[in-house]
Amino acid sequence: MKKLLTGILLTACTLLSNSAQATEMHVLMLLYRGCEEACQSFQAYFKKQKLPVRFTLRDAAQDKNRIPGFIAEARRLKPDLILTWGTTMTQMVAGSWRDADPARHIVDIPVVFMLVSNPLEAGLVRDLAKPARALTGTLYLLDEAVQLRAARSYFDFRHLGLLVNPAEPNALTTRDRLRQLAPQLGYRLSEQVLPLDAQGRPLAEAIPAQVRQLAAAGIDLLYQPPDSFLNQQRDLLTGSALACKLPVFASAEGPVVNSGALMGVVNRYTEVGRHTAQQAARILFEQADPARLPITLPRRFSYLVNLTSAHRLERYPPLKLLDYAEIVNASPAQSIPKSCE
Amino acid sequence: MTSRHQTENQAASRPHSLRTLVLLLVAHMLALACLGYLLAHKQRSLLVELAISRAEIGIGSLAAAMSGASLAGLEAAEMQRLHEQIDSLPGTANGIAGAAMFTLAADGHGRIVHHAPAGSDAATMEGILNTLASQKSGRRVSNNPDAPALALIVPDSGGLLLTLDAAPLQAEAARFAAVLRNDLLLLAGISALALLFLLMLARRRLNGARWLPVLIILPTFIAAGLLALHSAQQISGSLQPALTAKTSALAGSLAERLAHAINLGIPADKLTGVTEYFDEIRQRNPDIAAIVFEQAETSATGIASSRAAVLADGRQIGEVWVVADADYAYRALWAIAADVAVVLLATLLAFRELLAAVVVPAHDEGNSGLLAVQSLRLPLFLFILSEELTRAFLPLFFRDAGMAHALSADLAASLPISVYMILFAATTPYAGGWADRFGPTRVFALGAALCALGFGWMALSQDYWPLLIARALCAAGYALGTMACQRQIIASTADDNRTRGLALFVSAVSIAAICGASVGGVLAERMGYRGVLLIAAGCALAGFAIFALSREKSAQMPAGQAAFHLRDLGPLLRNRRFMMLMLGAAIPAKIALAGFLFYLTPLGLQADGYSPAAIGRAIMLYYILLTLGNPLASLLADRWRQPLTLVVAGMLLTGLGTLAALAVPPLTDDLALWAGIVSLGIGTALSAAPMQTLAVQLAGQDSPTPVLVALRTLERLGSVIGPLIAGGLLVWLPHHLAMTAIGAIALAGTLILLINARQQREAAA
Repeated sequence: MKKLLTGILLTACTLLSNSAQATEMHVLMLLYRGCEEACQSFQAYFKKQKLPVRFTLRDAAQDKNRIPGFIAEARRLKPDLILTWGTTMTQMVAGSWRDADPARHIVDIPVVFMLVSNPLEAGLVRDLAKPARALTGTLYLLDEAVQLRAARSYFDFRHLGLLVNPAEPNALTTRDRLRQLAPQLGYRLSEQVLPLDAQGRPLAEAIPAQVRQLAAAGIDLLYQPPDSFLNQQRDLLTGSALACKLPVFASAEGPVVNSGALMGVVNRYTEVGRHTAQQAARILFEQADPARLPITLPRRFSYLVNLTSAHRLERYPPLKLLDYAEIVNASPAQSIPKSCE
Repeated sequence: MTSRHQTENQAASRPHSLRTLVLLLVAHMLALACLGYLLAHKQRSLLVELAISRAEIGIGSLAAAMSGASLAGLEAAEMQRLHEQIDSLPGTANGIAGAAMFTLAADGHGRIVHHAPAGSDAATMEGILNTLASQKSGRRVSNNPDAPALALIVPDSGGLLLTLDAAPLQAEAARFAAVLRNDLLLLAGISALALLFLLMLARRRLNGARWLPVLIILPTFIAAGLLALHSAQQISGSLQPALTAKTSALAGSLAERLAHAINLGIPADKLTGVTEYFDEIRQRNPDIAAIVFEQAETSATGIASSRAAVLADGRQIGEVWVVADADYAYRALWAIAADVAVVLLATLLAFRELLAAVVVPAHDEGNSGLLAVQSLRLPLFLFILSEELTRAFLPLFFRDAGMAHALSADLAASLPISVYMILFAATTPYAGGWADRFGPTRVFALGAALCALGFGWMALSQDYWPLLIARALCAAGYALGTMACQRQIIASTADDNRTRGLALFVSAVSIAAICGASVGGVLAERMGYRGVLLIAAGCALAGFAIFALSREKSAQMPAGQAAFHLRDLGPLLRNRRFMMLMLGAAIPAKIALAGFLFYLTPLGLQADGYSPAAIGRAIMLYYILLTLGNPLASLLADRWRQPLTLVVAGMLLTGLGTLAALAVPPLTDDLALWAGIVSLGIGTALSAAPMQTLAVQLAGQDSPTPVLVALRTLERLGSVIGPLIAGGLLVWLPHHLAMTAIGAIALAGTLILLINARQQREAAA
């Protein structure tokens, strides 16, 4: 009798623990710059939806060389899903659609990417509507035309300035797009290319001088592309711009919300994280096939206006814009140069 | 001998006078009632418009926010911040009963994604939303006083829906209606007495004076004028609170926007885009005269103005001052001036008809034949009126009915006209014979009954195909009725009077057409198509009732006119010159009439945004030109004795007028259509009578009657194919160019005629 009861209890426990293990999913998050808002909101989604997920975080801390180690670890850990942050990470983990190599890349575990500026340009998929591989993800950038039209509702700019980071794969795409749009939207484009050091990395010290040169060329709006390096240097960039009385239009939220850019039409990172988590949840809990999940933009965009910068520039948003813009107050972390020299 | 005759006639005319009196009073009351209806309707719609535009102020910034958010990529269901604002909208103070945000599918179907108050029924709101779907603009309005609603479309996103509280609007409308009713009764009573007095005066002193109608109409006109003036004051007063509420709402809303900006930290003197913001609002609200933002205290003057303080950090920074246009109500009432003029004109003409029916010119006293004809004028007038009331909108009615049953819009509109013309052409030749055999009264009765049945059926039917049958009934009834009247006239008059008798017939027809086309449009705009169809049925029946009560029914039956047989057409069809006239002029003329005036004009003008009343006025112009042009044409015909020249001239004019459509980019579409109408009117006036004369000449037969019957029947062919051709053209061409194509047919026909005439002359030479 006692033996029977023990037997039943053991079986029950095993069954229960097995089922607990079976329903909890394991997500390996491979990050490039630590766990920022998108990463946090990704995790928060599952908590809010009460979906059982276990997260393992690995941060490359902007060092590409760490990534192969993560890939090896992934093969060992065998998570149910891998989240990759950014273009570089995704390219190295999943490879391009043309030559994904099972030896170097992960091909048997579903991979979901976020904060990749341009998945098509990056060669990750052939068709955004149908990835046709075990890799899917989300977009986060608006088309430049939409952004610039939105910028026009603040003020009618005529001469746009652009800093080009040649080390960034997307920089040339953005530059070409802005060149293409110039006649359509009626503005002139002036460019400054950042110099690179011996290792092929862009030189931050060159930024203030280049901003000054653009100011001298007579631009009335400086466009900050969605470039990680420039985002890192946002204080330097926006500070120099403010000193030269130049408004900065940012394609990502960092420069507006945490620095001195005047405005941006962006997807908030929290929204990106949530949108990506929704997609991941479908793969994990609804047996959705990543090859068939389209890569889409999140639905919620924000028009951000930094009123502190507006004060500094003495250039205020028109009454109509105030009806729908999100107002933030932020300054560059470092002090702003006194003048444009 | 003479005095006995006179006494007999006086005795005979006394019951006449009583009937006249009654009819005049009825017409007088009807005219004033119609006027009162127009005024009440206008006041109601002004109230509803003001309520809607005031509510719109509440959501103006919300719509802008939705637009901006959609520009930035948001979906309607995702706009949480805006959903919260929607929740705060419904309230008794602003008259908003319900508010909702919706998306639009590709097929135009709306779906509510968020609605307030929470307890309201989304399905009902969706229903209201989808009734607005037929409107194409970005601002869709339901002016229905029982369920006023506003939908603002935000491109690529969806839109916002507001349903308004109908109760306060209805209460105010009822109050005005009560005042109007009292005014109406008082004025109607006084002016009726004045009318009576004038009539009695007239009978004794001015029997048969030509300016009698003008005198008799004075009480009606004066009463109408007083009613309009007093109503204008009343309306202005009743709009005052609504205007004040609106300016107050606007001032408050704008002050809030400004305060919001200032509270964000924007210095008051550095606010940008304020003037542009205000200008946009004033453009959307023509009743607002000025919006001013003063950064100090100002004293406000002006009618219906409101001030709202702009408060920031508890301090008053300035004021927003919104001033409404003092003349708004009066300007708004001018909008119905044209319709009022139409009603008064129709009344004048109707009075003239009524009087002519009874007050006989002195030199006609002894002429019982003409008396008989006079007594026919009124029933005939009413009978024709019934058909003409529908001119302004019938193609529109059929198009809507057809579209509801998935028929091509243009085909749905053209088919009934063709069916009508076929039946009319088929019935007319035989109707005359029947009138002779069975007596005009019976045939007229049948005609009126068929017409009333047809109109009633159209008014009540919801399907499309039965409408065609109803229309066929109308056609048969119309043919029977008009032929019965014609026979009656012929029967009652001897040869010397016959021309005058027939002329009276024609004039009754023209006047009925002028009144009908215009008043039909005015009524259709307010009571809808089906209401007017019911009135048309009533007119047909009234016409018959008066005919039946008329005591001058001819006692003698005329010598039987030859009955019509199809074989009579034979020799005419073989008559080459006659057929040339048919093909070159008669048929194209009817193609133009039925295809352009009856079919294209309502469709084309409505596409240009014309209301049914405006369409009615355009068609009325044709009839006016026709009526005025006829005497001129007869003069010319007598002078020149060259019917062919006049026919050619008339057809040329018609054709050339349609070329106006080619001038369209500088000229507007609707002006091109008006040019076509004018040229059609004058052209037809010139060519109609000479065409008959020429036809008889060319036929070379002894009796003109079969020729005329043949002419009419063959002409109808043009009326049948005209709408079908025009409908076909609409597949490729816009309305005004389709008109030109039809004009080209007329010109081609004229060319054929001219060539043929030249050939004949050369052959004869």
